[in-house]
Amino acid sequence: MRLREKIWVNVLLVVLMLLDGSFSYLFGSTLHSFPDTMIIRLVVLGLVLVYFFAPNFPNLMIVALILGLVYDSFYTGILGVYMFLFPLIIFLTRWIAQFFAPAPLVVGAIYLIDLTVLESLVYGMNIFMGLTTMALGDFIPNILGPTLALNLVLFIFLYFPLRQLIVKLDSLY
Amino acid sequence: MQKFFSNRKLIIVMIVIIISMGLMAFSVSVRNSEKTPPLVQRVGNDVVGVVDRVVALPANGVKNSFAAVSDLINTYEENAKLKTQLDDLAQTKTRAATLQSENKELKQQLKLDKTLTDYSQVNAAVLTRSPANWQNTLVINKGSLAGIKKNMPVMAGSGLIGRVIEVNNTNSKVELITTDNQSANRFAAEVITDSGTANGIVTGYDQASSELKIGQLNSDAKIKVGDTVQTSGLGGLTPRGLYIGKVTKVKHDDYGLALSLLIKPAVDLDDFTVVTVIERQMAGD
Repeated sequence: MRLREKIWVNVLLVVLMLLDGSFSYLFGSTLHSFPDTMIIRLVVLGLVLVYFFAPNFPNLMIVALILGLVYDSFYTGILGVYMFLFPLIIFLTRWIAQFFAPAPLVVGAIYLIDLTVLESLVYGMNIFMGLTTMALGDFIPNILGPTLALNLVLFIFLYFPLRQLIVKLDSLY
Repeated sequence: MQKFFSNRKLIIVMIVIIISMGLMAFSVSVRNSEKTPPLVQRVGNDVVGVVDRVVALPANGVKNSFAAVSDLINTYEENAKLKTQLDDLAQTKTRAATLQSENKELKQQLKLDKTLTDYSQVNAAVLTRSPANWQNTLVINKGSLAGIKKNMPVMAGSGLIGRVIEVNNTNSKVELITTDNQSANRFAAEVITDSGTANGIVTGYDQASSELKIGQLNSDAKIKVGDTVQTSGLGGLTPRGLYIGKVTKVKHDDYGLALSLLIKPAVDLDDFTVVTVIERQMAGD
């Protein structure tokens, strides 16, 4: 992969990260209607698809780490949460993916597993830091469930366009 | 089947966990103290903020044009409602102007130059919102270059919405008043009743009814449903007299001793585009 395409994959990931914030702001009242909260995770979708469909993209772990650091710093100001979790997602995806061929259904299932792990760990870390008092019994139906549902829908719509884009960027030798 | 963790990987994972715990502890302590984040982080946030303007511009454009269309649809109804209010307004305005100038003269005579009610405003646009709802943070497009400091109160429309928690050079983070954060800096509020004022603290947010909770009230003043609640200016960088909302429910706590109130916020806390950061003119503590 030439340097130019490497840059474009990074740009894609950064844009997905910023779109997460913009959409959360744009549809704020829809996404946060009591009691359900839906969290948009386009950047995780991006990372998982880049892992599967851009095998020539080097150092995805490092990119995920830096992306997580920027995400922490820009959105919440609490470093070390996504910085740890984004590489973990890549690691988990790599571990599960060795058992399967990357069919759409498999990628979707892996994406949902990744999201479940991510949301649960983020929740755990926020409890640990005293930033929330939500009970586990509220977290699972009110945040985890709706978040998985929303991201599954986004996955269905974005899987093919994003895959085409990433494959195109990857094959431009 | 490959082992999930080989020895080397296990060590790397342990080190990463330790580093990330350390960073978390560090950022929470920075957040709770008066300091700004380190220079590298501020500059990084500024750069991301500039890039985000490119992404946020079309998104905010869409939001604004939707708002414009719905404004247009509501115009007739709103116009009728506003006309009835307008009659009072001219008189109130003249009276306010007279009182303000009189107040200024009296202050001069007393050699008081700044009091708790004096403040200046900085307008800012919302750039983006943190996707995860845990911290309830917004990013706005003004920073220390525009004179914004940590802990300044932030308003949208006519009501209080939150407080600045982190300042970079060209953008800052605002924590909404609805936050569930245990260590958040709470607002001191006062209720204006017929028989004087009662001081309390905004202690939380009831998501089910989208109302703010006020507790730790210090007075026996008769509080009625419909009384106005505003900031009291006690402590920190908040001036007196920022409108928070109206009382919707008065209730006694479990033991029947202390009062707590539910108040309806003046603005929809999920839907605003422009915010105003308030700078108190009297120095804070």
